[in-house]
Amino acid sequence: MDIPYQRHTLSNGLDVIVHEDRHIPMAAVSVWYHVGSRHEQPGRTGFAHLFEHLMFKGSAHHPNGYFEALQEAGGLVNGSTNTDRTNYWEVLPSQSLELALWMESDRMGHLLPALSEEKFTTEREVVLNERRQNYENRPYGLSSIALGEALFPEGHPYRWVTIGAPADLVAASVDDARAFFRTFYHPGNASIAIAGDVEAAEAIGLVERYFGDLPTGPTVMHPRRTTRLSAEARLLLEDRVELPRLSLAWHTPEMFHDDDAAMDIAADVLSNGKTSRLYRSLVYDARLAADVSAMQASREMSSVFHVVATAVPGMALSALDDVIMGELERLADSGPTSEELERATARAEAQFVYRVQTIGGFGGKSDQLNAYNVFTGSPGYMAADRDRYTRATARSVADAARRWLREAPRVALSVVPRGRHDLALLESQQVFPQ
Amino acid sequence: MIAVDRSRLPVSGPPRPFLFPSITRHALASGLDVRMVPHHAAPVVAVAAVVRGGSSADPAARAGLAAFTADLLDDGAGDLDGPGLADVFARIGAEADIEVWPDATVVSITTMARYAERALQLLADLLVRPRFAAADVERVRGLRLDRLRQMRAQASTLADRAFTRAIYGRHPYGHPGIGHPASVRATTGDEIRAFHRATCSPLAASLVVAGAIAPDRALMLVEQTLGAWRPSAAAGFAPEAVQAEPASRGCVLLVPRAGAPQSELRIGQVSAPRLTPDYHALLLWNAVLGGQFVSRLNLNLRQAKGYTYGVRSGFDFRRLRGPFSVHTSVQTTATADAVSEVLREISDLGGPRPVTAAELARAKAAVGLGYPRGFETAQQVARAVAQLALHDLDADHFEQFTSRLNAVALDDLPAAANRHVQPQALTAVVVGDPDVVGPQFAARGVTVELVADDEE
Repeated sequence: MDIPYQRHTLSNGLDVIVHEDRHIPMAAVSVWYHVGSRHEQPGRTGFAHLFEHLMFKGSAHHPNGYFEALQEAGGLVNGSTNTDRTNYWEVLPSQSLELALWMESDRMGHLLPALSEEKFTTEREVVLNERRQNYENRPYGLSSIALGEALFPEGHPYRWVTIGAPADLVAASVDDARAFFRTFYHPGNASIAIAGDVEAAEAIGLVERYFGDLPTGPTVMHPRRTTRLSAEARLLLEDRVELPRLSLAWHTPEMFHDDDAAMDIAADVLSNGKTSRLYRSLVYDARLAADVSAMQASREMSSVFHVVATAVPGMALSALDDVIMGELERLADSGPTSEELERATARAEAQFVYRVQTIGGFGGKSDQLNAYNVFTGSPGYMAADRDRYTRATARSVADAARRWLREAPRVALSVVPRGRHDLALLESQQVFPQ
Repeated sequence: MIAVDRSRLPVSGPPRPFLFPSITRHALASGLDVRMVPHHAAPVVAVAAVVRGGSSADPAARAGLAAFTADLLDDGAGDLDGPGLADVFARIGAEADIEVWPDATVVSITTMARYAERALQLLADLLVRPRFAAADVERVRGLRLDRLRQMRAQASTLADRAFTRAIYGRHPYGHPGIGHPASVRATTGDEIRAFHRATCSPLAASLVVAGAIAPDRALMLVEQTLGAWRPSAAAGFAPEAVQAEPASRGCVLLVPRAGAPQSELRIGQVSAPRLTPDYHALLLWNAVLGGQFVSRLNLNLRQAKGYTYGVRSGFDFRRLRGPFSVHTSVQTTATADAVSEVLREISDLGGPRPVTAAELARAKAAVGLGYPRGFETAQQVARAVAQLALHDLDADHFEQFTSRLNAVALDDLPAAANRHVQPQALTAVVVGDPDVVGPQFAARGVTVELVADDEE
């Protein structure tokens, strides 16, 4: 399974990738900028994401909002920001491909004349609402903030969450936004992928026409920093929750590393479905937990492996911790069984097939082509990506679990209902994430 | 190269033709309605069984029975226990996707085309041969009670629950699909087995096979795997209780959540069924009001006022009258303002600011032009055809959708909307900090009724 494509790089540095797929009369446009929250500075966190919002507010030649014209063309439009990149996409009837390219090029080249103080202030309120809705007002919503602050030292670019700290958002100014645009938003730091009901040469010609005259900008410095924990950190967070939850986290290798795939397989063996080790030992056979999940959260500089389990009412988190650490020991000692490895690789293989079903949107083919292009330099990296999973052995998974989980310190966060410190791991230090 | 004209947006050409999936129907001797839909975009097959009933079939004292029963289907069926089933599913890169809707239980499996036969065997096991072992019933009961407990801390869940109860009361749509702690505790294994026998029948079901598989092969596999499925003697679910007409209240209800940093809002009423002749008019009216990003509600509450991250409105079309609702999460300090703005936007549509011709044209384009996007994957196609089956819609429904949409006239909208949404009948539910929110409503002279999150 792969995604056939044609690639062309404009003289201003913009990468263009086109994939033809005529199953529905729709075209998908995906624009990636290689900038995320890790490019922010302490004290100005949340800026990459706030800036993403501003990109929808209008550009010099279309100053009053980006949604309406695309929506009226029958298009879906969205964008997202994470630690490493910001993406924007449209999936729209293919006869309107030029409309999407006109708009994407106008905001890539001509955003600032349309950016006003008023737009900036309103959108900042929207983002503060987003943060309260998805973090403060959501059970366990502040966990990711507490984990980041324990996993990464002061100043490390992965220390803060992408949504940012409210105080930083309030302190941000429209001048910061202008400087941010000039630094990161230009053809040399972008990649555009088009997939769907299009003809490749024609689509490349259109991109040349709409984006060809945009000037490139300064070379972007991409932070490269890894870190390790020197000792275990135990934290306690009180929250408006009914059941206590234990979140464990370890540093692991970056996206596309062989051990990154091995940790993906470890996560599958540990928590995917009723055959998985942690589900059986915590939920299915004994009723210690209401749920459990393990996940390798892959990122560009370095990744984090998470195990999260929610205790049944009245159960202390230390009971869950004992079982989890026992299972990790066992995995590090002898790796997955052949049956477990077969299941995990079958599931991984299937995921690669399911991933080529949609042309655009989050995770569609245009998004994947850009991901491979921006992170590896090769839009055709899918085959190599998949090979990491077929190469994995019981031995390589055991080795990865030993090296990254057993022999390395962890962060252990106990989230407990207010006043129930007794349910947390012993000697946890209470935190108050902002 | 032609220079780009940035003085105006490029004009799009006419829509390119799209062939909607062709559906082959066949009734098995058992009465099972089978629909085969070839779709060759990827080597993937999606099978979906729609069994009419769903959470509205729950007996009054056993809220959550349909969902409890459905949850157990993949916990042991045929020759395999739960982990045994999970192993087989994993080997075909699939999992059982079991959903309980108000009107139906839907069991679907998406897998690679080469495993289509295995997927249908598994589907048959889940539908026809679930074990409902006593130990599994107890384990799943515990999980569901834990889940109910966790839901008490979720503002959005509290809002949904209070809203549904307020507008539907004792109507079969009035309880949450998961049920209540008391009903989940009281449910017995015998009741689950009896419920399954009574409701899960080929006479109440439609089976959709969509994807990279020829219709005749799909039908042969269905005959092999589900041909022997017969209605049990106990079968006889009749949704007579569902005929009760729900009552609407028209008031502001406050579920207190001390110190809440945002207020969750649900505003709406019991509204239209799926088969209303006003269906297309309501889709367009809602697109203007709050069905999409650029809509009156979102432009007002998010873009102009900055009260919220987003606000949406929508009709949940069901076999009987489903809810119309506006949902959002707003700043605590702007709660009463947000409620009054939502109410004003809705009543303005029926009064001083009706939908304009330009808004209608834009809504038609937005809803109609993007329609083929919903037929991209085998899973989407299977779900779309499952909707046809559930609602007894005509086979040409997809082909006709855009022309029916375009046939809606500006004059049709106020009457259509007025038949299904009456501003004076709207109920507003607020989940928020009573100390901050209460005085806001009091200052406006709005009576607020405090409601507890009683789980019954």
